[in-house]
Amino acid sequence: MELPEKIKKDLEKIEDEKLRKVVEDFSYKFIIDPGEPVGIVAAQSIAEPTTQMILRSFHFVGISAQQVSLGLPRITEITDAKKKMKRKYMIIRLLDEYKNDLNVAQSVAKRIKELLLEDILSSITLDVFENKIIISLDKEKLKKEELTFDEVFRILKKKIKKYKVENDKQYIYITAPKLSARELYLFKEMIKKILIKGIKGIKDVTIHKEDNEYVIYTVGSNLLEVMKIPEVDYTKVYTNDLREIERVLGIEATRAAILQELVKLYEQQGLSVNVRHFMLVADMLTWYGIYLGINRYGLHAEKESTLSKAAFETPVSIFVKSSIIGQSDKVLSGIDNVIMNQPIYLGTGLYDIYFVGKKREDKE
Amino acid sequence: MAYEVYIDSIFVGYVDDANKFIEEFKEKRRKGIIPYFVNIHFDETRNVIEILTRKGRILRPLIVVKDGKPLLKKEHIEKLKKGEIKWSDLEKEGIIEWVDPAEEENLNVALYPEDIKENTTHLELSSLVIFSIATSLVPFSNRNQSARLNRGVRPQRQAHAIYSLNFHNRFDTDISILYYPQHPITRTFSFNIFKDDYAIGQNVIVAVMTQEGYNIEDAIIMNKGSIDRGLFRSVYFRSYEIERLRYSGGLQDEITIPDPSVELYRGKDKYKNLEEDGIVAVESFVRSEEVIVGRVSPPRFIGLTSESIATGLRKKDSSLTTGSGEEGWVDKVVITESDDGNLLVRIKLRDLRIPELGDKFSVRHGQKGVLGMIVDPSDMPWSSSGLVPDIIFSPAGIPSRETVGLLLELLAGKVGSLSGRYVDGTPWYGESEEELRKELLSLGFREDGTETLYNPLTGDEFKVKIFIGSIYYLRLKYMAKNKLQARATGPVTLLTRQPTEGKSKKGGLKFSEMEHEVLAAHGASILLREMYSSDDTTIYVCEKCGSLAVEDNIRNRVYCPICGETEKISKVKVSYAFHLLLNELISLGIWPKLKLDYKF
Repeated sequence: MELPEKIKKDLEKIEDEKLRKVVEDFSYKFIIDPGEPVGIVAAQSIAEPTTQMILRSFHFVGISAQQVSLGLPRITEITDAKKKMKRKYMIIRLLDEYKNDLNVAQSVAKRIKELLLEDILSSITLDVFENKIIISLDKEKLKKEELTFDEVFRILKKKIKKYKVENDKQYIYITAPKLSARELYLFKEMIKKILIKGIKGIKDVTIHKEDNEYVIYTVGSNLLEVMKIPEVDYTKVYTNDLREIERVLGIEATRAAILQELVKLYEQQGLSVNVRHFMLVADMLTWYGIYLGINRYGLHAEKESTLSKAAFETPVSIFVKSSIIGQSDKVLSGIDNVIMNQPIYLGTGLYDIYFVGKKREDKE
Repeated sequence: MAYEVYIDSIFVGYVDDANKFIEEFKEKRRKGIIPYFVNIHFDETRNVIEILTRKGRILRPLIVVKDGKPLLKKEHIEKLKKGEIKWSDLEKEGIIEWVDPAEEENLNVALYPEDIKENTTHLELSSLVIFSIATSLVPFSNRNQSARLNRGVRPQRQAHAIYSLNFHNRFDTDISILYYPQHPITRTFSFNIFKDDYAIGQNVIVAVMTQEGYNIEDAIIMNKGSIDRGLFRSVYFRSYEIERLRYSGGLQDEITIPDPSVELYRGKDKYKNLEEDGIVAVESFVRSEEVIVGRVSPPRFIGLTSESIATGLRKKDSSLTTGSGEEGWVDKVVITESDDGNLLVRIKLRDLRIPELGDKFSVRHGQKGVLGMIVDPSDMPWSSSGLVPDIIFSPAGIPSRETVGLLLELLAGKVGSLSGRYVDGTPWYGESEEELRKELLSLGFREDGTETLYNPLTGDEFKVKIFIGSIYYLRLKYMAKNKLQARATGPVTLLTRQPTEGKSKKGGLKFSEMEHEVLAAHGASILLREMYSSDDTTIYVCEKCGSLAVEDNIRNRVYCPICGETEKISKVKVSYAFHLLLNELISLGIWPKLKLDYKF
């Protein structure tokens, strides 16, 4: 077993030969032995402190200015790779030249905050006889958002290309002649969600001052659009939505983000877990090139062994599926061997004693 | 504006002036025109007046306040004390009013007379009404953490005591009677009410210290001398019953000593306690799993097996036996008739239970623990006056639980036992800590209750003063003797051939998934195989086609039923659960094939 390159280089720097020998021997102790069940050790090392977290986590809820899910709910969120994440948030840092400029921070904050049509509506009604949707805007809300009636009208006209959009300086009319009453109603609900201004998904924005630097915190997340803003330092944008990171930045970034999130989570709770365990978890979650959760549809579905899959959930359907394609199981994993009551293929079960006798030809 | 009026959610009419109506209603109720237990509630958000008469509402009494003065005066209390008036008289005069949660919404209730303001409508009887019956019996409970109070109630219900004076004639299962129950030294206001029933423990001398570490994790150390003198000695009763059943066709069970020829005969030794009538002798000692009533059932015709036809129909032994680990003297035998008119035999076993390791004890503050060690009196620490504690209690349990009431009870018990009086530990109104300290000082002791104790092993003084006093301890019904169970081999479940679960079925201890992972993480793979080998079986596998082969014991051959192979068939040792899995897969229509190979 060889030491990693980096440690070897460091060892070469030591001039005293005796000391080097001691350090080298010591370094070898940190190498995992063959047959060591690192996965089980990682699971146990992470899970044991987590049992303490359950009790402790509810003391932390509500202290943070933003509602962020912490503790056990957040861990399940990460390891399950949930598609619909609760409480997304972003931390946006500006480029060095705008860092200390409050005006820039405020203008960026204003620009990224999502504004939907329903936020500035005073009323939206249907005219079923003429197949029309009649929109009237709230003037006070328009003033607050620094918008004019014409601007909103132009945006609507741009976004709704299929149907005729008109106005009479007071109301906006959208005529959709072919739609039935039910379809018209659904169309109205769709129009309400049209983005007038800002970035989609970013629901609230606050500016904090951190170490002589203005930092923007957002509720909701849209990584791609925020990174496009020229004043924003796109290398430092943070989001807690791991699936979005995977979509925008790729799988390696997701791996790093999972690791960072897990380490941060356990640090906040004051629990010390060796980072290598988290590394293994992060590696496993992104092992197949996509971010898969530890559940029936994710990592467990990717397992090769039918028996271990069946031991987890829904055994009957798994057996049926495997039998249709004639799958074979080599019985190598731990749970497989326990089911058949054979020595598991780990630790002492990995080895057996061989004796190869000398061939007779050698004697002669 | 008109307000809607409802009686029990049924609309009855409108009222113009809501407040006047409610006032008149209450006035009439106080005069007795309307019954006391009818309540009225004004919902301001809905503009609705509700009159509630139904059952199931929780009512509580409150003192009526009028013009800033409570109607209950001192003369009323004096008259009550003399017995000239009763509680019902106060109700009639409209001094006391019963209020339900809905009516309470509209009221302003003051806790103390000093708190009465202009708009106050009612006064609480006392701040003590917050306690339940069991909670009110805990002394100094106002000094405890509230969660501990709730836990302190439970031990009082589980304590060994004399639960009923006719316990000799009753046939209750699982009952313990304390030999020498005592009243507590430290009492509360409600003690006098429950005086006759409240002897559920004993006053013991407790030293708060660690000794040799045997009271770690809430355990307690007990003095063997005290136990020998009868401390917490109790008697345990368990009753059994059996019926002589009648069956269709005029057949009937028979209560007798079973003949060795009956089916399921247990062996002569098990029936040795029975007298001629088939019932155990009174005051004879019965060990575990011995027959106490012999019963023979007639043969059953339903579910005949080929075996029973071959051997002929036999009567069946269905005797009553003691369970595993249950033993004792036969205290009482009653032969009577059941509701159905069958003969019914009831047997009560009596067992002496001297405190032993693992028995559960508690104080009234929720500080429960098991007996960790029984120490000879010579090995217990002693004070300069020669006092030896009965129980050594660990101080480590106190800071995190914040049961200050326990410490105060220790102090109060010390004062009470030294001055020969009972101490009032009523929350808020009882004797204060300062008074107790002063009294202890005047009795010639250190005022904080600590004393110099001597180390029994060396004879030296302990460097620290030890807190020692008297406290009311309870022995709880959970005893090690009732829980003890062990097994090497024993019964297995029919389907999976794995060991059974639970004490009554002589079950094994489960070695489940998390334990499996611990061994796996250590790499102890052979040990793990051994742990799960309780259901090992040998199966035959056809190496040609991989299906399960058949072992034919009559013709003495092994063959594969699928391909007819007889030569290339191997024995494989697997768990029976896996064999079952393969068979269940076959029943699903899936053909599992085993490919045999060497692992290495």
